[in-house]
Amino acid sequence: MNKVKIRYFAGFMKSQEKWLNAMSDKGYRLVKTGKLTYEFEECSLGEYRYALDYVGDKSRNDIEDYKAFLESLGYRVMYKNLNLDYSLLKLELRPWADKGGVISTKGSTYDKELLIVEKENDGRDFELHTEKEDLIEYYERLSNPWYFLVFFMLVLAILYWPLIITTVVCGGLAVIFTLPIIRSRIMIRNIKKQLYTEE
Amino acid sequence: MQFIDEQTGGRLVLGAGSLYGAINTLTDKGWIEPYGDSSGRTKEYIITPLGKEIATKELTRLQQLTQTASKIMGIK
Repeated sequence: MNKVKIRYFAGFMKSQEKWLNAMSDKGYRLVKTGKLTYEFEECSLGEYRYALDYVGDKSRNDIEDYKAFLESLGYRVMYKNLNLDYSLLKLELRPWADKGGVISTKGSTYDKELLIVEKENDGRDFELHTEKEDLIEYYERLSNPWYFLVFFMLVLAILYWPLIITTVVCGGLAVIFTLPIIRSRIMIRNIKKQLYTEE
Repeated sequence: MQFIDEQTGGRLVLGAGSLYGAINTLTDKGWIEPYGDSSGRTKEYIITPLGKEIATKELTRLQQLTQTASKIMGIK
C-alpha cells in the first residue's frame, strides 16, 4: 500500500529536501507529487537521496533539456509546484524569467517551478549546485521573483495610501518579501569572499 | 563527475546542475560542441580547435605558476 502525505513547503526548498531524505531514511520512496500531496512506496531504509532545483524562470524547452540531462546521469526527476493558487486562468506573468518563460501557462511551465531529483544513496551529500560561480548565479535567480514582489507590494501600498489597512498589510508584506532577498545576498557575499581568498 | 571525484580523491565534487551550466557555457563560447548523434541517452561533446587553444594557454599559465612557486619555495 502506498502512503500519501500532505505537506506544503512553499519556497523552503531545504526543508523539503530534508523531509524527503528523512522519509527515505524511514523506508519511503517518493513516487508521485501533487499540489499538496506526496505519494510514497516502500523501499529499503535510506535507499534514496533527494535534491531540489528551482527552474521557475526557465522556458519549457530549457526545463525539458535540463531534465533529460539529469536523467541521462541516472537520476529520477519529478516536477513540483512552488505556488499554491488555484486560479482559473492558469496563466502567470514572470517578468524575471528567461526569454520564452515570461508567460507561464498550465500546459507549459505552470506548476513546474521545482524539480525533485532522486538518486540512489551512495553515502555522500547530494548537491546539484557545487561550483561557486554557479551558486552565485543560482542564488541570484532565486531572489529575482522576490524583487518583483517587493516592488509590486510597495506600488499597492502607495496606490491605496489613504486606506491605512492596505498600506499596512502591503507594506508589511513588502518587508517580509525582502527577507529571502537578504538571505540570498548574504549567501552570495560569503561565496564571493571565498572566491576572493582563492584567487 | 565520477572522474573528477576520483582524480581529486573526493576533494572536489561536481554537482549535476553546475556541470550542466558549465557545458552550456563552454558550448556558447564555442570551446566544445556536441559530438555524434544526439539520439542516445548520454550526450557527448568534443573539444573544438578554439577550445584546445584556450585550454593549452591555461595549462601554460598554470605551469608557469607552479614553476614560480617552486622557485620561491626552493623546491626543484
